[in-house]
Amino acid sequence: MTTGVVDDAGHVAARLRRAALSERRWSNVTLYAGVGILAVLLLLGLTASWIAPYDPSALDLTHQLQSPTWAHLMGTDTFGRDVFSRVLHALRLDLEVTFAITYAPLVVGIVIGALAGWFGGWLDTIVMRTVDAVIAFPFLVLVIAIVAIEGPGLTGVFIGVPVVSWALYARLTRGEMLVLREQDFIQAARALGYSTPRIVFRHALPTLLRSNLVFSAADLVLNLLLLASLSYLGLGVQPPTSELGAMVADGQSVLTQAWWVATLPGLTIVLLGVSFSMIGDGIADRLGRQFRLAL
Amino acid sequence: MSAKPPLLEVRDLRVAFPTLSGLLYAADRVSFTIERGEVLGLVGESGSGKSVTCRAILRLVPPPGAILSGAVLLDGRNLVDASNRTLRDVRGRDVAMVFQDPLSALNPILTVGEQLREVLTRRLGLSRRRAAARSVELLEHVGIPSPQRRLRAYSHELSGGMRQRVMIALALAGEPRLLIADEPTTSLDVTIQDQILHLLLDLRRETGMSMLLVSHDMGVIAQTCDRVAVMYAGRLFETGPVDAIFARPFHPYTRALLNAIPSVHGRGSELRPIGGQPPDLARLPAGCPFSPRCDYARVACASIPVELAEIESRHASACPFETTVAA
Repeated sequence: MTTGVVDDAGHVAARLRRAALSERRWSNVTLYAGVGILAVLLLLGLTASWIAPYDPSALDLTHQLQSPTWAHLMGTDTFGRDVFSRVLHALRLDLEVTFAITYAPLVVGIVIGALAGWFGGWLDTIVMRTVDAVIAFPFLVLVIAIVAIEGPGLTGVFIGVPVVSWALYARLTRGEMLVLREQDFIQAARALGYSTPRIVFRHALPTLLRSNLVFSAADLVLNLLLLASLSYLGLGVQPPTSELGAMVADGQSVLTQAWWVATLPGLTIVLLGVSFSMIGDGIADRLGRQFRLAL
Repeated sequence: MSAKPPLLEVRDLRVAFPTLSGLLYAADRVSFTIERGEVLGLVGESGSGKSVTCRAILRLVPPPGAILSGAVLLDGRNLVDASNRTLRDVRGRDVAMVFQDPLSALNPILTVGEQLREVLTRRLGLSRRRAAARSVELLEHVGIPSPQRRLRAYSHELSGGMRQRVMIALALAGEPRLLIADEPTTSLDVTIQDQILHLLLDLRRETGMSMLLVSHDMGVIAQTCDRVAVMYAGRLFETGPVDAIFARPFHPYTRALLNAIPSVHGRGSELRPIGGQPPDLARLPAGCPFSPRCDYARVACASIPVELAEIESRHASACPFETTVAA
C-alpha cells in the first residue's frame, strides 16, 4: 500500500518534470528554428553579390519564362532575368530596409518613453499627446502623401514608418516604466545614491527592453509586408531594382503560364515572416518562463 | 547625554499625500533621535507610517507624497532642504537601506556580483579589480558560503535568507553610519529571521553603525533594539529605552501591542488582540486617533493634542493619562 503511494508520487513527479522539460524544449525549438531560418536567409542576402549566379538585372530575351532548372534554380521571368539571383539581391534589400525601419524607431521610442515614464509631469503629457496624435493619423495616407511629394521610392518607407512607429515603442515603454519606477529594486537603486540617468538607463532599461524586443519581432513582420505591399502597389522600390513584393507584382500577370515568377519570391516573404514570428514567440516564451521562475 | 549632537535627529517631520478628500498625513510631526551606535526600533501596525518615515529620511517618499515640513538632521546637516547632489552623496554612503522583500529589491536581471561591483566602483570609486576582491569579502562578511560562486548568481537563484544577506552586503558596501532596515525579516521564515537579526546585530557591534529597525513584531524589537519608538496613524505614541517600554508601557496602545504578543511562558495569560481596525488616515477622529479602540478612552480624549511628553528620563508618551494606565 505504502509503496504504491510512493511509486505514484514518483510517477507524478517524473511526469511533471517531463512536461516541464518538453515545454521548455518546444519553445527552444521554435526560437532556434526561427534563428536558423533567419540566419540562412541573412547569409544568402548578405552574400548575394558573390553567390548570385547571374546579374539580377541582366536581360536575356532568348530565355524568357523558363521553368526552374539547375541552370536557373527558380526559373526566369518575362525579361529572361534569373529569378533566383533576383531573390538573393531582393533579400538583402528587404532585410536591410526592414531592420532599419524597425530598430531605429525602437531605440528612439524606448528612450523617449522611458524618460516620459520616469519623469512624468509635463514631459509625459507632451510625449503622450504627441504619441496619440501620431497613432491616430492614418498611416498609409501619410506614406502615400510622402510618396506624392517625393515620388515613388524608398523615401516614403524610410520617412513614413519611423515617424509613426517610434510612438508605439514609446507608449509601450512608458507604460512599463510607470510600473517599474515604483518597484523596490529601482527604489533600492535610488537609496544607494545612483544618478537618475544611471538608474533609468542601466537599472530600468534592460527590463524595458524585453517586451520591446518581443514586440519588435511582430513589427518586423509588419514592416516587411508593408515594404513588399508598397512595392507591389508600385509606390516602393522601383524597377529594375529587385524587391520581393515588386517581383510578386511583376510575376502576377504571367501566373498561369509561369507560376514560379510570382510564387517563389512570395514564398520567400512568407519564410522570412515566419522566421521573425518564431523568434518573437520563442523569446516571449523564454522571458515568460524566466519571469515565472523569478516570481 | 554627550556633547556631540546625535547622529540622526528627525524633528517635526510631516509627510503628506494628496487625496481627493484632502491631505493625508502619513507621518505627522514625527520626532526622534538616533545616537551613534544605537539601534532604534520603530514599531507599529501596517499603515502606521513606518516605511514612509524611513523613506523620508533619504527623501525617497514616492510621489505624489511629499515632505511638508520638519527637518532630518544627519550630523547636524539638514537633508530635507539639501541639494539633490548632496543627498545622492549621503544615500548609500552615510545612510543605507535594507528593504523588506529582498527579491523585489534586488535587480532581477543583474547578477549579485554586478550589483556589488556597481556600488563599489560607482559609489566608492574602487577599481574593478579591488571591487571584485571586496565583493567576495562583503559576501563572506554577511555569512554567504562560497561567495565566488554566488557572485555569478541572479537573485531568483538564491534562497530568501541568502537574498536578504546580499541586500545587506549591498547596503554595507558603502560603510554607512546609519542603516535603515525596513522590516528586514518580515518576508523570511522564522528560523531565517533569527539569523538575519543576529547578523545585523553582529554587524552593528563590529562597525559601530547606528540602525533604525522597523518592525511590526514586538518580539523582534525586544531582541534587538536599544530604544523603541511606537507609531500609530502617522504619529509617535511613545518613545523610550526598550527595557522601560516593555516593563512599564505608558501609552495604552503600547500596552495593547504588548498584550497581543503570544508568549511561550505565559500560557495562562490571555492573548488579547486589539479590537477594531487601524484608522483611516483620511478620516482620523478628533484628538487622539487611538481613542476609538482604547480601553481607557474618556471624553477628554477627543480633544487632546497628540504630543510626546517626557515622563521619565528619555521615556516619553503621547497619552496625558499615562500615570493612571501604568498604575
